[in-house]
Amino acid sequence: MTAPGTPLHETVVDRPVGGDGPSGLGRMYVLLFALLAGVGLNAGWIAAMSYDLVNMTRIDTCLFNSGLSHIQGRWMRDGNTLEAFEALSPAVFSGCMKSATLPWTLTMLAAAVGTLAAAALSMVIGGLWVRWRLRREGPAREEAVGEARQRFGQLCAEHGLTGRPPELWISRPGSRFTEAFTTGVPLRRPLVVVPAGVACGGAARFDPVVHHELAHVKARDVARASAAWWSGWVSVTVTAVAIAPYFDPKGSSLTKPLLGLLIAGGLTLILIIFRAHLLRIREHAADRLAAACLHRPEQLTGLLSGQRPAVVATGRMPGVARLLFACHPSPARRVRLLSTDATVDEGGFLSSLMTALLVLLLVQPVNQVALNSTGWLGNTEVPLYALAGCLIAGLLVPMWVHRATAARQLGVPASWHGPVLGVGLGVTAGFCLPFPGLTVSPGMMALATHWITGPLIFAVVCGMTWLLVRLAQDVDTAGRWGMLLTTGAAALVAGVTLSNAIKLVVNAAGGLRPAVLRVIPLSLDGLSDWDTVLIFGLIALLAVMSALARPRPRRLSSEWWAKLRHDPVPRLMLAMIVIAVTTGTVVTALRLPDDPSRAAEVHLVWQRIWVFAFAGWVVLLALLYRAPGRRAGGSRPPGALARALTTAALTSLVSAFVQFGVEVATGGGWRPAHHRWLAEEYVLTTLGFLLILIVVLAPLATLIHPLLPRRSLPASRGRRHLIAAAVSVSVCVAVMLGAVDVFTGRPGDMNEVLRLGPSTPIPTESAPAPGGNAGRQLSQDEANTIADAIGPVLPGWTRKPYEPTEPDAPADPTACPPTVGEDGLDPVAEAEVVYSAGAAKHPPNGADIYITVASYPSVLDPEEELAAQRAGIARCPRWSTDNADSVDGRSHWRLREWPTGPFPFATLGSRMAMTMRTNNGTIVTTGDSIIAIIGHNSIQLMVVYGHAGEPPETRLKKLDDKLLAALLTAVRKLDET
Amino acid sequence: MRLSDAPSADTATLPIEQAAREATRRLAPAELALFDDITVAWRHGRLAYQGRPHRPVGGTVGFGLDFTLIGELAYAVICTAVGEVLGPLANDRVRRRTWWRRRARPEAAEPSVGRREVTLRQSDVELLWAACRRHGVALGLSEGQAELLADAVRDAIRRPRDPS
Repeated sequence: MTAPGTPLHETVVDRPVGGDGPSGLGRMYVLLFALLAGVGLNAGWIAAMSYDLVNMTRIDTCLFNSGLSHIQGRWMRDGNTLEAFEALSPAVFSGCMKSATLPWTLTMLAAAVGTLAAAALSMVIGGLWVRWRLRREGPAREEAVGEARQRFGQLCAEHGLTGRPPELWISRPGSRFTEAFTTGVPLRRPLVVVPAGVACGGAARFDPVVHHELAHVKARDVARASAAWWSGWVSVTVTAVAIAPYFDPKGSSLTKPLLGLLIAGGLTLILIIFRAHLLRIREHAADRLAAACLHRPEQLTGLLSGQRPAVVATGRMPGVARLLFACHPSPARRVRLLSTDATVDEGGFLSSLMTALLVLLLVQPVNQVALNSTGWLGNTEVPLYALAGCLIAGLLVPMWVHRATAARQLGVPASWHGPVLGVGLGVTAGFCLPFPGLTVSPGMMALATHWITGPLIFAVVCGMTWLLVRLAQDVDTAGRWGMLLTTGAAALVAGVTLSNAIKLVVNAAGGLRPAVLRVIPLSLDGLSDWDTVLIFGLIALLAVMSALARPRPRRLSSEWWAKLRHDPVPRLMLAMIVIAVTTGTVVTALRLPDDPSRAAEVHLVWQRIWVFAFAGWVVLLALLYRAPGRRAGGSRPPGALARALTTAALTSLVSAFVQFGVEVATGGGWRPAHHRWLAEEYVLTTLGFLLILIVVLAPLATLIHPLLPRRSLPASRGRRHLIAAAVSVSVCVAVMLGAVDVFTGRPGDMNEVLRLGPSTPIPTESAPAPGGNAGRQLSQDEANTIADAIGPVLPGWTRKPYEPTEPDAPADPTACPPTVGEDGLDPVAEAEVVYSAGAAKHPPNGADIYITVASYPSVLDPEEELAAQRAGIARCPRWSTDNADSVDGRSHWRLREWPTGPFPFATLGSRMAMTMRTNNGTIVTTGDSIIAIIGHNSIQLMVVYGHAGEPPETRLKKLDDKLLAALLTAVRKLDET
Repeated sequence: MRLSDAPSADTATLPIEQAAREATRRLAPAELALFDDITVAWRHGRLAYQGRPHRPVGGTVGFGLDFTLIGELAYAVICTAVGEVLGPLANDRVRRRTWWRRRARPEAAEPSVGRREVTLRQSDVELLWAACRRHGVALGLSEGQAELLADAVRDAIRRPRDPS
């Protein structure tokens, strides 16, 4: 309430209005328009398919050739195998998508930008149309409303709107505009439209209405609110246009893009609900400002209550629909909020859900677009989810800080349910929904593999959010540094947690079934550089926050010894460090001799790391329990959580360092291999485990604690400490003895993990020169031995029985294909072997290598033999044969010489390709063959490989390398035999 | 008292504009300066109760309440009440049908050409007054305001030769 004559705008700004004043809605507008862009992005994805802007056939062919389609089917049918795991790597998938990514990306970006532009254009056109209609109807008579116009000027001055005051338009009787509103067009002054019924209603009616409208003008969100209003219709229109081709009865059905349509519909629905929520909050904020400006605030509530004549509430909707979709709150709710001064927070469930979902959905295509120019690196190599976590926390924590501050001013604790549930659901949904532009996502595959991955990630994210909300409650908003540091620390916590949680889920889906939790060590083993930076940045920030929250350093330094003596925190830390290190050392010494395998040793290291993390967690809980104000959510002194987190991290780290020092000392000193163990396992993994424990267990412990029955504690403090120490030691011993193995895996699991590692590459050798023994005539057994010796150089290939072909017709020297390898002599010994590789190894249908070792009674003349074959190749570069399976009834052949060598023996390489046209495309079967002549003997090898379309040279080169390796092995064996 | 569509010395008229002006003068004298505009809008069928769309266009979020002038309300109340009371009354009496014949043989009582006069009894005037009061309350007026409006309408009927 302000005294007459006092400039009202100053008191209005300084008055706390629950933290959600109009100026605080900027972030929500950003969220809304980002969601609108997301809707456009998604519509662009659908439009790229529905309007055939992307060559899907090319993508399908590539996926077929990559073996992804049928391997994916086998993956879903038979469970995960190493080959399937490798084949499902993002690199393979993105390699096929790369040909379509440019038009696809352009379409999506154009749709996103176009959607935003359409909303802006609608806002401008709508505003201009309103002005045109008003001018067409004409204003009310000036002599009747002159007094109202003067009063409007006074009210503008009270609000401080003198530099660029809004215009007033009083609509004449019979106008269609019977509701007061404000409209704005960029570069024009806002226009406050007031019906004549308000202008003639006296100050009791005119002042509340105009104050309300001027509050909107003062918030400078008239144009933004207009665009927000239009965003709902624009999103519906854009989505409808994108999916329109699917409703063509002659075209494709709706079942194929059903998921995309559901996502588009869901996004549009969320946008409409969020837009209504935002506009309602805006009205509440304007109401509060208007009530603050009025000398008699009850005028506004009276007006809203309908106590004045000729006032009718507009927009009647059913209750639930109004709650979700109405852009204007009901008068009853407005009166209730004004009378109770209840806060309308901006960081509640809907805002948190929106932010998390948006970040997860948008960070992926942005990342994809960025990577398309440089090539795909794969999800696991990009800090995608760490970045998403940082963004979520960076956007939401300032909102939560304002929210907690507002709640503290009102004397009530800020509820945590809304933010926690919102972020949990948003992240889980964003992770499980397919990327915009793709039809799959790691989350979908993880869910398809095991259902528990969804609830697991939801629980972890909820715990993480609980921690962030608590962190936001600790901020003293008086200083900017506190807000900045807290936001940074929260971003790092979210980055590390989200990245590792999602990595855990993805690895669980592709690793060990069904005990998905057993791969926690795997997921955290070998943390990336990004994780390292995030974790160390987190600890550093927490330490800075603790230091800032503590007393001044000078005072601290003068009393540090006294504080150390009387402060229980160092004693608590010391006790937990001693318990953790002693338990770890003793139990390791007892368990290791029984099972001295390497896997068991590493396994015990992990168990010790869990113990270190547990020690830090106990310290954290004890400090939070001891912190003053723990029962009142908003009244805890700033910095308490940061101090507790820092102390917990220090406890775990010191425990790990001491344990590592003991190991080094007892193991014979420092070795270079210790660098990695100290940096990765004992530091990063310890902090990672600590973070997981905090995120998962701290919220649970805090929630369960008030529910537990109160029991009388032991009277003696020493006895209490003794009981606490005994419980801690028991837990540590239980962990070391394998109590958490059911969750984190056993040595056998690690062996399985190690088995999944990459295979050793095949060493390449230079071609040996055949000795004098290599050219002699072979017996049948020797020929078989040579053919058998090729098997070891083809790992993963299976030997198949050789099926002799039908005898060829008498050779026609002028016909095609030319006869190859027929010199009129019968071999005295001949061995024929076939090796086959499966489709998973050489997609799409595998490959076969035919090997023939023949020995002749006379020495073969290489020049003569190979010259005849070269002539045949030159004579038949192309020909065709009958083929009933081909669409055109013919198979089309190509033959050319294939350069090989140089080798110290005579060779000839040739490449024959058969093309067959089918209804689904062109099938090209390529046969690369090589013939070597050495004395009496000839070695022929041919690899046959089918592919949809022309096979890429990279694929053929891999097979040709196998062929050459087999040839060299055969020659070497020929020499040794 | 007789009510006729052709004013003459022995018939009463119900000048709706006059009644609405009188009601506005009694209820909201500040609006009299706008009354001519209200009347023009009423003649063109632009008032809210006449089915005119009265919501702001898209892109604007208003105050959430519709504000109507008392003069507009007066027209709405008077026209609704007249339509409710005098319409059936005139129909019945011009056709000279008794109440038990209204539904039984509607085609048997064709109105006589030239009979356009309705005789109003005092009870009919009271019916009109009550209808005006009821509709006024329904449209947001207080009971006192609604009675003032109804009185204005009744007075307009009783003063058939009022030159205004």
